[in-house]
Amino acid sequence: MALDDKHPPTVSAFFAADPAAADKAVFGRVAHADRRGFLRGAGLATMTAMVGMTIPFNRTMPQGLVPMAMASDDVLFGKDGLTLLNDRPLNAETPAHLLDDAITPTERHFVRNNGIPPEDVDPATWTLTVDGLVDTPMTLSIADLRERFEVVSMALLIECGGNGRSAFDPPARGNQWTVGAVACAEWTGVRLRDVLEAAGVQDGVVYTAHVGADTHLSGDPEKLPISRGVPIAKAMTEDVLIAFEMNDGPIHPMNGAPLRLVVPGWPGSCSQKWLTRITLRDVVHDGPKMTGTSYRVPNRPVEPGEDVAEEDFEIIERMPVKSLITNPENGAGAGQSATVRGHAWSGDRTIEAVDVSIDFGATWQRAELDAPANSGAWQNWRAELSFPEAGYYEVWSRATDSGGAMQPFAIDWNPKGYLNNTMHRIALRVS
Amino acid sequence: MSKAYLTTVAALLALAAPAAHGQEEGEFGVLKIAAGVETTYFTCAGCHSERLVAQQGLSREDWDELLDWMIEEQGMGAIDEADRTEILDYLAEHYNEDRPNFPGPANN
Repeated sequence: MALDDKHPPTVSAFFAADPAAADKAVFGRVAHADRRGFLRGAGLATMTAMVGMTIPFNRTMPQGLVPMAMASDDVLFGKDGLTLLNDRPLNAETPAHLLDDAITPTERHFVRNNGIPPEDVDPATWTLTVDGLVDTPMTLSIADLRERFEVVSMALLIECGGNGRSAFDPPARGNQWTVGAVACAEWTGVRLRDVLEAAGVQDGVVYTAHVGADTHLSGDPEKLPISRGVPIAKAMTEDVLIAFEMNDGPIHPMNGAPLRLVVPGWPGSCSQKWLTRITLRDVVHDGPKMTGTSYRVPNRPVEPGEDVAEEDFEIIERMPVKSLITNPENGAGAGQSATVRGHAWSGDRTIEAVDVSIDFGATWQRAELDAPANSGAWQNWRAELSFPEAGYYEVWSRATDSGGAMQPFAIDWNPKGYLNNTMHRIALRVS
Repeated sequence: MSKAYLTTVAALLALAAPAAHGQEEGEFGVLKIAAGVETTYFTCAGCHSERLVAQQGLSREDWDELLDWMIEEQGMGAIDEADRTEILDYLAEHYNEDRPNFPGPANN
């Protein structure tokens, strides 16, 4: 499929170019020899999930037929209810009340692209190269990864480093995320640690360097849109995955199909999408968006609007303690009592407590809090609230983590608009 | 930019299908229709969506610096001085730190 220079690739163009390949890439679908139906059911579950119902006549459904339910040139094809911030590169977040599920469904996982996604995402031919300071450089197919390493499924939290940027004053440049650039899906893959151990990590390795198959917006093939990495100690933890499935199905094309890293609790940019290469280095990686002020914050508290020298910026590692109210929806009506619920997380830590307030933070009530599904997952919480009389209320949520850190009320302003972990607030109209 | 041209643009805008989130999209996408919009749109939207521009609220100085960064590091071609001034005038008026057109353009 040729990309023209003005518009993002469209679903219909993708399918027109090669219906069989598009079917396989988008739905994981393989048709019978008569070009109808779903051979051994391949892709039927995905398509059923995407249209939201069973498809009784699936055996006669032609190959390459995009269901009318989604046959538009919507750049958010296969996503449900997301707010589009930017269509090239694609950036879209999920309204808080649509993040209510304990595990985020694929169609509600936010999208943060830095470049133009690859067109050929066939899992059968995809390869990952592991090189740099390793004893045995390797190039592995997805089948090799499945065969050679233990396959694990984990609920893992990914949050964009700039989630919450829209509340910065003075404004910070970049996508103006509100609260919904966060998700916790079930990812299936192999541990990065196991793969690196098989390759043999040499002495002196400091950092990983990740490369994906997406291309730079300028069209310059020599430029990478983004290539970040993590300290080797983080890479060797047990909850960092090289993932090839999302929620027991294919990874959504905009979430990095067919292969991506998932580094939970660190800025989402560490979790390279369309992953093709991991190189071990003896210096801190200096790829695009590792250097300058990208994904970095000042090494001290600064005044809003302060001009901070570049050498005073430090690379962001773990994301800070945060909570989200996912039910009720902001501005909803309620009776004299209501159940409020949501999620809370803190990178590399666990949540010890979530407190909620209905009186603008004057008093607090402890919420019921679940343990994480596994290391790297968010934690679900709920509280029963009762209101003394009808009127306008705000529900505020405030999490405290295992390091004793508590969400602040006000933004710790920084020039690039990262790490806004202020308490989440919703309005409730009680009658 | 002529008044007749702006009228045409306004007519086109009225016909355009509403985009997601109630923003009207016209010939210059979601950008505020005002002097300088055409040059700004075609300079920026060659590489990325104009939606990225429309989300920002930056001082003239910061916009100037951002254009340098686009040229020096992001592969954008050089802009001639007259165009650069027109673009900066437009951005500094409509997409400054007071964010008169965020999240959507006012009074388009």
